[in-house]
Amino acid sequence: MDSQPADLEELANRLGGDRACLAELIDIFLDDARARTDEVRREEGNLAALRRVAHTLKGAAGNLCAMAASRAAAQLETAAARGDQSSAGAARLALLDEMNRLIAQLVNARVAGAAGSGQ
Amino acid sequence: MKVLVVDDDRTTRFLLRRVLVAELGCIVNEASDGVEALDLLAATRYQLVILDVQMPLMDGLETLRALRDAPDFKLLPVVMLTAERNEAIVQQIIGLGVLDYMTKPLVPGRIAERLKRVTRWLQTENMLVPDRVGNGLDDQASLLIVDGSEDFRRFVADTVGAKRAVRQAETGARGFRECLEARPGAVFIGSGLGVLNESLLVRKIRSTSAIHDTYLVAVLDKEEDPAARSAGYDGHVTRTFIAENFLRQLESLSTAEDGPLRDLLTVHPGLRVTLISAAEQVFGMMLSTEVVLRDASPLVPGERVMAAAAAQWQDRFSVELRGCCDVQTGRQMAASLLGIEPSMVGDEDVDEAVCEVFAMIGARLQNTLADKQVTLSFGVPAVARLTGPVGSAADGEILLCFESPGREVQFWLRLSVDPSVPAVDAAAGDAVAGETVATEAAARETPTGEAPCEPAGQKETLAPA
Repeated sequence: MDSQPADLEELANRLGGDRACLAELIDIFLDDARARTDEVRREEGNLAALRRVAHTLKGAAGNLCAMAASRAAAQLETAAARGDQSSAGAARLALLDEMNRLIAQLVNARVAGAAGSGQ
Repeated sequence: MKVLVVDDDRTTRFLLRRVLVAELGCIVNEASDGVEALDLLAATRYQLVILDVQMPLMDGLETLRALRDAPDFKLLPVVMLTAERNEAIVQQIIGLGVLDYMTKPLVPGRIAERLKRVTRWLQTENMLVPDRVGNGLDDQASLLIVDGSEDFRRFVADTVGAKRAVRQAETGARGFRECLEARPGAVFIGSGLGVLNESLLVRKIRSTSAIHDTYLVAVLDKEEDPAARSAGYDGHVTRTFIAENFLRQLESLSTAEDGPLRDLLTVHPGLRVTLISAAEQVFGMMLSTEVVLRDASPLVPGERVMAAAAAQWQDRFSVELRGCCDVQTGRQMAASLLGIEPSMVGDEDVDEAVCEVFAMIGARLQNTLADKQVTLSFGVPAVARLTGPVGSAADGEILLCFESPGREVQFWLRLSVDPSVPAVDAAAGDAVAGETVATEAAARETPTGEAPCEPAGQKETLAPA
């Protein structure tokens, strides 16, 4: 469980054990996360855009108890804000990696119904 | 209550909506940026806006500035939402007069607790202005004085009687009957009451449902220990035959019961005031008089973590809000604020938690004074780790010190962190703000000319904005 990108049990606890709510939250996250991850992929070198999208992902991933992705986003945001292309490049790749893992976990959780039926 | 949630992240809006609707019964509208928010605000009246700082098109600060510049929205209650720990941004937020600010990521239990407090604050904001306090001591309410001394009863009636009706009872039994029949706003209970003595009278009133919430004031003899007669009472005064002194005590009670400071300090579920010094009265005084306090003095040594915020009020005086707590206390606060186990808390978290609590106190102070048309600027709290002599903060305690060096008096508030309040998730349902009790008063006179000891690291304190 510790190696999972998002701690869904903890998130469910925070939501008072409401699995339907958890499912809805995951769906909302996935809706936006794919587009934002694409943006991170696309905007290589555009530090202003990377900073903005990293900031949003930092908060959204944090809301999902996905702390590794949130931290990776924070590192990219900081590096982009400093104008540090080389650190931002590394942080961007790390964030892409974390987001891919996170999205895969969340999709699986929805498919397996582990996060509730959403009804 | 109608609330507008403004954030470009949908998960944040979802979590806030869930708490606001399910737990607080609010009607919620959403906007994804400042432009959309202003559009909605122009068409609908909201009682509260929750506003994210970083958003596309028009960010939260820009939106907030626009609101503060518009006469209709100058006083619109706003809670800011930020993932930033950036001092400059926090300072701007506070400077623009917000009710509170919350940091991301959002932990539902924590935001529920915070928003409950905010809505409670909004519902009772009139109570924050001392002359509108409805604690039984307002001008309309009648008073009952129950005391064996006819002289003292007559003195109270003569002193207060011009302003409000004063009833008298010479025994506890008669006092109890008067309470039931006349339902006075406040009852002053002295001594020499006969068989139904003072403690029995208090117990009887508290256990009678029709009058159990009557505001009860103990009239203490000069040498009497307030602690000995604190149970069941809402406040106390000391027996005097000097009208001015009695009226001043009465005024202090009005201020103390629901005064601004009490609310300022209920910013954290685990924080509880176990000692309120004369500061509450002094604050009441500051709000109503032209007291001139001079420049700030050096920091007072605390144990290891210290945060300080300096405030200036219309250039007429400055107040420094200083606090110190031990690391363990800071750790507990951080765990609670971040919703994690204390063992997971790092030093940086402690610093941020301490700063956040102090910033919240500052923001609330600012809002309280804004109600009185007073402009106040606060510095951003800074943390100094002290290696010098151990100060007065014991384990689990935070000391706040309001200094007025020109008067050579320091006013202390001792806050304790309630160990029974765990990390916020579990605390959300249980922690009750405002159950703080003032148990002791202390205004420490600093001997004239004695310079307070300067701790290491004090230069980190920031100047007022």
